[in-house]
Amino acid sequence: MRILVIEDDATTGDYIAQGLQQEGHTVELSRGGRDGLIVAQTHDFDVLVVDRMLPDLDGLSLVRTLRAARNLTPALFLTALGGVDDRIEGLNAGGDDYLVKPFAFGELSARLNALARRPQMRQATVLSAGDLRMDLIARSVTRGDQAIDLLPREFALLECLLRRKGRVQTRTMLLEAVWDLNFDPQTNVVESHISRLRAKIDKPFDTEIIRTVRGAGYRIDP
Amino acid sequence: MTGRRAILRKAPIWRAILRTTPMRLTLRLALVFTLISIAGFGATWWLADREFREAVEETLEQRIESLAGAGDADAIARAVFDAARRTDGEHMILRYDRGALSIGNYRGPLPEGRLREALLEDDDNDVEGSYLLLTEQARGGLLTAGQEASALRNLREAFLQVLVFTLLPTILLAALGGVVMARRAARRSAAIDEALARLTGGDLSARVAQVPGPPDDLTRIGAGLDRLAAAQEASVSALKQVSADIAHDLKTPIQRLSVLLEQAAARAPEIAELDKARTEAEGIVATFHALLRIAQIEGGSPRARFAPVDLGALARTLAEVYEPAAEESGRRLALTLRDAAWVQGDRTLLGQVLANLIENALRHGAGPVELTVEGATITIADHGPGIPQAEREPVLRRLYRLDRSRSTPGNGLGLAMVDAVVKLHQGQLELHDNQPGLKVTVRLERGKPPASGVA
Repeated sequence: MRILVIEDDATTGDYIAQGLQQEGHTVELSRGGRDGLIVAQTHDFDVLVVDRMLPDLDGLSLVRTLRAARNLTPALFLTALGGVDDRIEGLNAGGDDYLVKPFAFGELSARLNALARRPQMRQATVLSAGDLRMDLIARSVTRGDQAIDLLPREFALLECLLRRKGRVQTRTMLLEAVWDLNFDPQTNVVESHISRLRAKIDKPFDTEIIRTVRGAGYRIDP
Repeated sequence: MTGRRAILRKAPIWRAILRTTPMRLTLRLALVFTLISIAGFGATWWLADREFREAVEETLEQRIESLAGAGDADAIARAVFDAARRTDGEHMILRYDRGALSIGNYRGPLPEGRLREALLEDDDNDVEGSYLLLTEQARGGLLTAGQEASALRNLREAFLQVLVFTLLPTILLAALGGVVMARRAARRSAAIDEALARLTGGDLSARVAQVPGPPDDLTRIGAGLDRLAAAQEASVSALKQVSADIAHDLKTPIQRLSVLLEQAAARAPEIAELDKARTEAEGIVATFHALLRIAQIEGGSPRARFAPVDLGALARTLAEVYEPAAEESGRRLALTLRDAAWVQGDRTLLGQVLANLIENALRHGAGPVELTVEGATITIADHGPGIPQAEREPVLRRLYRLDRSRSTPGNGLGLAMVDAVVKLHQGQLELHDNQPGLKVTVRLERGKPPASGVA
């Protein structure tokens, strides 16, 4: 993926760029809003990482300008502001996702992967991973030739992981996608749901379908 | 936010006018004026009426005296007969009754009494109308003289007319003046009401609209309110600026710190302290984050963004999210919905309230956690140690923690956040003894579900 990072703080910027490069992405780093805007408009990127508070041109205006110029490259805002209003303001300005500083690198990486344009598999009626099959029409799950009974939310959780196969889903991403909740729980709520799901789809079998990615979240390998 | 405004808009304008101070003063003054006028006119009329009666009585007495002085009964009868022939019954009647004999220019019935007013009618003698009558004993008979007294009635009517013609226009003029003043006052107070409603609704840019006309006390109050709102707006925007500055100036170094810790941990995974340091940094971040968020909510996060929230559905979602975690720690989370209502609010913040309360109950309570939504009231009860009466107020403060819970995780901001969100929704937060345990009640205002057909 080609990623443009617009971040004025050198430590944070370098860290993001380094981390993303280690994951195999091509990263361009801009230190200012104006500079970033020019780079974003003159080159093609798969996803943008934009700090909201930039010294010359703030991130909101930057993305608004891009959208006005019909540049629809997905953008993720990084911000020190964490209020509900700020989040909505960011999404209204044309941002596609929002991450509050300080963040863990795993969270950023997972969210960028989710944002990047990928061939959509929306029409698919059957999702699968290994010998696990999910039939979206019959609402049934089988592993091998064994049927697995899932509760509606367990089904939704598994569907969410299967749809984004190969990409890490963080706890907050899962809370957003499955329950439409937008906060950081202080209890291990998502972990508990995952372990219930695992008890049904992984425990009785030899191989593990849902993998834990340390410090980030969960992933189903293709 | 629109409760008062809606009432103002719906109520007819005359009711708003009637409720203004100038209109009330005007009506009160008009009433006092009317009472004084009626009393004054009444007294004058009473005096004039008495004067008139006395004058008539004197005339009648003289007349009777002169007739009675004619001599014996026959002489009196003759004198009355002569006098009656010369007297027009329309103005005065004379009559002498003695036994079966009745002489005079009026032959109809006479009411009993000495001096009295009576309606008489005798077409033969042109007698018709109200008469003031005086009857005296005279030589074994009754001598009566009466004077037509319609003047008395006319006097009464004249007084009534004067009263009506002077009083009515005065009252009407006063009322009109009152209405004019009251309309202006009503418009001014409506402008003040509107500005207040918007200000309490979180729109700090609201100002009292100036109504044309000379300044008065309401204008002064309006101007004062504007100054207050401007000061409030300035301090809120200063607060926002300060929190934005703090957020930026402190969060950036914290970000760097956690970046460096993460990199260090990646390079030297054998140093266990690095992981602990990262956890600590995360703790700082969480606390910091919650503090900023509470400050933002208390700073009047605009209610304009509020939308209908299905409390029952939200409680069901949260119960579902926390249920496996509760079970893992050997607890049970029971949800009861009774006529769960929609409320006007912020779903994310209300979800945060439910999450914080459930987390508190799981963390500090014991036994099953009972989450109930009844109408627009949320109750969360546990069977743990509860919170002593004296501590129930301070636990809502930021960073306040009970001594015994210092060892459990948490930053002492959960209930402060709940309090801030409930206040933002103009609800009430109550902490009760669940005997044993803590029972938290959040009372919100019942709202309307979204209009059907709207996505």
